Amino acid sequence: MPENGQGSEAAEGLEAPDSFEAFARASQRRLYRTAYLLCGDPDTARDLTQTTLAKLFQHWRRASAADHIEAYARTVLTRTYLAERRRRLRDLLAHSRPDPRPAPDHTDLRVTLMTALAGLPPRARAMVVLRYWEDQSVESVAELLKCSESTVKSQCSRSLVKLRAQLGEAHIYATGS
Amino acid sequence: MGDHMPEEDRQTALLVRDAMERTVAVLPSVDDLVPTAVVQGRRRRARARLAIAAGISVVVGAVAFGAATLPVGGNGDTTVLPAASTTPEPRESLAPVEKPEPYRTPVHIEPTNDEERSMTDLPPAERERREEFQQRAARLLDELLPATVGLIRPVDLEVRRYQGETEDGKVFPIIFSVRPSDDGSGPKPCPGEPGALKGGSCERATLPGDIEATSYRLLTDSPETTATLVYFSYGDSAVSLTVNPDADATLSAPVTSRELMTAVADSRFLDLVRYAAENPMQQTGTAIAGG
Repeated sequence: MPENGQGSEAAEGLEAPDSFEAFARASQRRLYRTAYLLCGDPDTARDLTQTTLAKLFQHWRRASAADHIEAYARTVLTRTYLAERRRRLRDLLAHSRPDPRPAPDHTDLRVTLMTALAGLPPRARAMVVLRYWEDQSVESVAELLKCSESTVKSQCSRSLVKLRAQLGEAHIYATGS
Repeated sequence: MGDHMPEEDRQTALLVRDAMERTVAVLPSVDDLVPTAVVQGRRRRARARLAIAAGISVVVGAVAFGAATLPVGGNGDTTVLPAASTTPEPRESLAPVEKPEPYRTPVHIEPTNDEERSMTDLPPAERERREEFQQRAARLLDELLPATVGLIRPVDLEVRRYQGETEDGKVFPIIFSVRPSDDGSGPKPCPGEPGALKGGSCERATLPGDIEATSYRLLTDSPETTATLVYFSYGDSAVSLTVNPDADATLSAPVTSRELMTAVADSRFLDLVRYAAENPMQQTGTAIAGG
């Protein structure tokens, strides 16, 4: 399990402002990594993480009272990402999503992954990141994104087909297997 | 990761996970984001408090609002003072008149087809008038609609378009339309046949001034969500206020017909309608859903 995990559970339940800083410092790297997988750009991921932390600070009393503050933060991060994507799409006048970038002709696994993720619609991308990076159950993802479990299952399955097509060759090259 | 996935999907999921781990492993370390987040968080809190205070100042400053900006009503002999008669004497400490009202940064949307024309194409004076109207309407709607609709901002594409956005990113498009009407016949009564609305509902009410209004809660194109809307006629204008669902989040409009009816019955809302009816900003047409 990578560092995306549950390292800051100790921060749960704390309510004073100091507890926010403790939680934020313990969580920012994990949130930043998830944000990067969601948006695919380091600077945007940094902004997204910072906005998420600012929102948590704003509502810290409520956030720190949540049963699972990590899940609360993950929810804020994901919904902020999706809201920003909607805003950007509107700004770019595209009610249709932009054409996915063509697959790279080299086999760098990281580049291929980010290109493949960029080809997914924002909500599908969020589902993939939540399911396979954050290890969230179908039920949790459905609750977070306010959709049915069958929607999560079908969207993830379709996304995996697309990712498999692009990642397969790069992975073989990267791992030598 | 299991959840009874097909073997092929499971292999791909492992592959994706492995690729993700490799990808984030080489990410440069991020600076400490906490100090800036605290500053931003404080600003967000302050803005939220300002929005609450603005609700108070709008009520208290209604005299100045009506006198300074809304036109003289009827034959010009009288000036309507919205809400002043129902507002307690303002306390001096609130200093309502000089206090700047919060500016709602408009949501920018580009036209997506040839029929849509952005307000930015208008002559400067007309554009400014409409923007000013939108600011006042956004602030008032924010006060009159339930907090679940979120912070309401104007949309710069059209004078009738607004948007409510909640802290957690839910977005509810809002249409507030006042347009000269061809027929002036007023809203139709609720359909008598129970199944006509296909799961929706309809209510009638009489607004101040004996204005007959009809409110609907209707299923949208997405069968899981409903929009809430109210129609009425004001003079020769058709008026509608619609709160649409968040289509991306598949969430219905978080406002009931009764709440919407209460909002449009407010004297300050009717004053805005009167201004828009007397100084039209939309083209002539018949009342249609959403505007």
